[in-house]
Amino acid sequence: MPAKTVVFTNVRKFDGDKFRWISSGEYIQMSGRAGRRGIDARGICILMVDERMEPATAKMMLKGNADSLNSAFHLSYNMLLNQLRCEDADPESMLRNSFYQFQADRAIPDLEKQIKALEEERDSMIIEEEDSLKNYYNLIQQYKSLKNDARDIMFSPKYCLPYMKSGRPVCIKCIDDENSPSFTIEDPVTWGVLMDFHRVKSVLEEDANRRPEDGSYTLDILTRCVVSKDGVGKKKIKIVPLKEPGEPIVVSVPLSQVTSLSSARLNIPKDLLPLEARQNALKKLVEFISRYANGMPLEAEEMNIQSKSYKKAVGRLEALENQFEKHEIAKSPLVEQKLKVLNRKEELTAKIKSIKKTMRSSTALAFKDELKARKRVLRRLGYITSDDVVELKGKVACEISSADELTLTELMFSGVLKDVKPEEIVSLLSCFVWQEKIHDAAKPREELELLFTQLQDTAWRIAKVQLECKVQIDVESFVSSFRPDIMEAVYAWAKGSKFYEIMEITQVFEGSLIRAIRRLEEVLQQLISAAKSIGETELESKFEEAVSKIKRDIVFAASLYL
Amino acid sequence: MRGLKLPLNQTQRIRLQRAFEKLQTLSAKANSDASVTVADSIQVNYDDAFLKGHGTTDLNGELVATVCGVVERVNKLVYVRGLRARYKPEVGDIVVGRIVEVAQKRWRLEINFTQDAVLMLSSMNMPDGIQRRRTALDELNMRSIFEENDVVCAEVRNFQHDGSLQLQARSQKYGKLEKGQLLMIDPYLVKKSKQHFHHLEQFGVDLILGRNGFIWVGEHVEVRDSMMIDQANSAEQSAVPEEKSPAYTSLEMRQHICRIANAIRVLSTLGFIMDADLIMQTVELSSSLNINIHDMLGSEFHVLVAEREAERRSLMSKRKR
Repeated sequence: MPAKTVVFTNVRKFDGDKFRWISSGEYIQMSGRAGRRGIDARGICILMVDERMEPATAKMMLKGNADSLNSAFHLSYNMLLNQLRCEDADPESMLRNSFYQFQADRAIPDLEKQIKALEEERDSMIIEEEDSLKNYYNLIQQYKSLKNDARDIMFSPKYCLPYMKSGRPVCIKCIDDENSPSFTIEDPVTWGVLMDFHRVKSVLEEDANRRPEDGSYTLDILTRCVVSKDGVGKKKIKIVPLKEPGEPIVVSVPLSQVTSLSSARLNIPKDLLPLEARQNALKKLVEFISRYANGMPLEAEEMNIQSKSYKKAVGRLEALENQFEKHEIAKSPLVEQKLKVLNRKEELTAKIKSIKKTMRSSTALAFKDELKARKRVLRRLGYITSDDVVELKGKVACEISSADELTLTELMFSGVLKDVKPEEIVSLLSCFVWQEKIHDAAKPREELELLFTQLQDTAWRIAKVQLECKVQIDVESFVSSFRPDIMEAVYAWAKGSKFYEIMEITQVFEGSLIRAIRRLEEVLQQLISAAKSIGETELESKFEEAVSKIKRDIVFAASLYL
Repeated sequence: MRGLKLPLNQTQRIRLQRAFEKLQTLSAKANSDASVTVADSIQVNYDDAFLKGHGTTDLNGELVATVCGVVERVNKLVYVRGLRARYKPEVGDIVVGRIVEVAQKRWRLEINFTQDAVLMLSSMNMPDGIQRRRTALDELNMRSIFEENDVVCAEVRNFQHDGSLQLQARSQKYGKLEKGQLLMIDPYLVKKSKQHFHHLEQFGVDLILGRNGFIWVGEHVEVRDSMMIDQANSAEQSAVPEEKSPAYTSLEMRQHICRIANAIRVLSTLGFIMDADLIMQTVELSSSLNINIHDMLGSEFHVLVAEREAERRSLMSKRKR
């Protein structure tokens, strides 16, 4: 819609969290609509400001940079097939001339400069007795990782869950994000009192049927913290050692942060809401710690850990500890600072390595390996011949661009769509267009469930083939990308239900559902032309019937104001 | 021998027969029982869901063929690949056609399809290589681009909803074909391959195997990419007057063209599916045996080609094993 004038009625917009200033990129995009091509010499942009605005904010908004434009190009089978069936189109030359390749090429001199600067910085760092220091450094790293291993075994939920009782003092790591990692053998630790523990609800719903041992847990721990508020108004809580000033607060801590448990338990009141109760509880804890300096840690034997790898790790830890004592550099002064410098140097080396790697991959043709792998998949599945000539199946997949072309084509050729009703087809296709994840969505009814399992089987098979052909793909996530969440709602819609009725069936947003149904219609149109190209008239008319069933009422209204 | 109309003497007849028998035994193993005629029922598992593709129909609960051809199966899809039919276009195919009509903003082309193909003025590159809207003036000048009876090469773009076929010629290599021969053979004899434009360098000849069975053999024309023209200095172009290529074709070139064309004719009469390699081999066979161009269409050369092909295919099948 061309416009001569653009009017901003507000300079703030809601971003789901709060009202924020419009960014310069947004301003450029919106005001850019002003002025009709060939008619207006200039476009007019009116900005209505009804509040105080700092000059700096205004300047940033009006004179700021546009959002940077980055290529999000990716290969798809549909694109590849369409390229292959034309005589002079060559996927490789297309890739070579792509904007993606252009951006990758342009970034190379910059990367080279970065490497040079980093290398200079690294070489300028000179450390005395570097070799022996490095030796010591490696020892520390080794010791830490071993200790972590041992800890992980000890605190795997299998062993430690029985000891997660409220009132038990626990030793936790103080994690500072600002400081670089320390180089002593001991980590800074503090104590807290365990109140409760929870399982972390993970994103995938299959976890529901996992055993309790496998989930990850967080602990609610009462300890001393410093609460700081930053400008945005978000609270930031930092755990500090007990002796430092701070408030007693119950924080949730991941299990991985716990270093040891005490074998004793303190008597802590249940109600910790009043500040006093919490302070008293902490006092008790301090008392306990001062009496038993090491907090009477639970030993592995007590916890009944019989894992072989644990014993091995402990044995090696002891050996390493001996080595530390013998190491001459440990006694030299300033070892701490030296180690810090060395650490920085190591980091730089790693960084140079990773930049070099990205440079190497961008000098080569982008997607070259992926292109090869994808062609291999197409050959394996019989979409193209060994001479890259598109076959019948490939022709069908060419038509489908709005959904996963391989899965849909395979589904069609396996005859699944042949003996089901149009409503069921629509319902099945909804899995292709629906991407959001809904928790605790109702399972579809039996016949739809059956169709969905067929879809999953097909998807599984295709993902396996892709993996065998060295396409980077995660089989599990590929299969679970087909979501059955709105099958029931779409089925009802195809059956002729009213929109408010189907909104009662699922808890999804109206807008997402409408978008999904519209995309569904697009996929159906592509399937019609696909069926036409293989000459299957029955299937074609079935798809047409499906289109007529879903294309009605509010979902396909051009505008809500009509 | 499929009604070959060749004056053969006794030995030639026997040799040809033997060659064909050899070819038959080689191909028989592939799928001998798959060939059907109209109204033959096709064996399928009726309990299972299957898709019926082109050339099949449902008759009283039985799957029958509606054309003569070979039954092909892809997963659950059953279809019949017809033999000796008119050309059935597919998107992306290269076709050669003859202009039959200059109409409103479009040309109509005869391409051996059930209806004439349409080449819109807007779906071809203008001779000056500039991308712009086509004006009324362009429309008036359409005859300066293609006239009736011109031979044109284009690519299948898409099918309209009413089933009519649209072509496009969006690159310099498509367009009018001059100084050469157009051969019309059965479309099924042209093998679908990655490349249908061939530049035979040793002869300086362009060979275009149109998927519709129209084959163009003509003098090589240098294809100039429109992108290259943009980059080249336009002033330079206007300064050097275009070198007028001679209005006639040299005798040698004409002989090359005829030899290649005759090779194609021979292969077509024998019913061999051809690609550029096979055509070139046939041409080489004829020149290595010092056979005159006009003798290529005689019975002796036919027999030779058939024997050669039988040998080649038996070698290939041996290699596969």
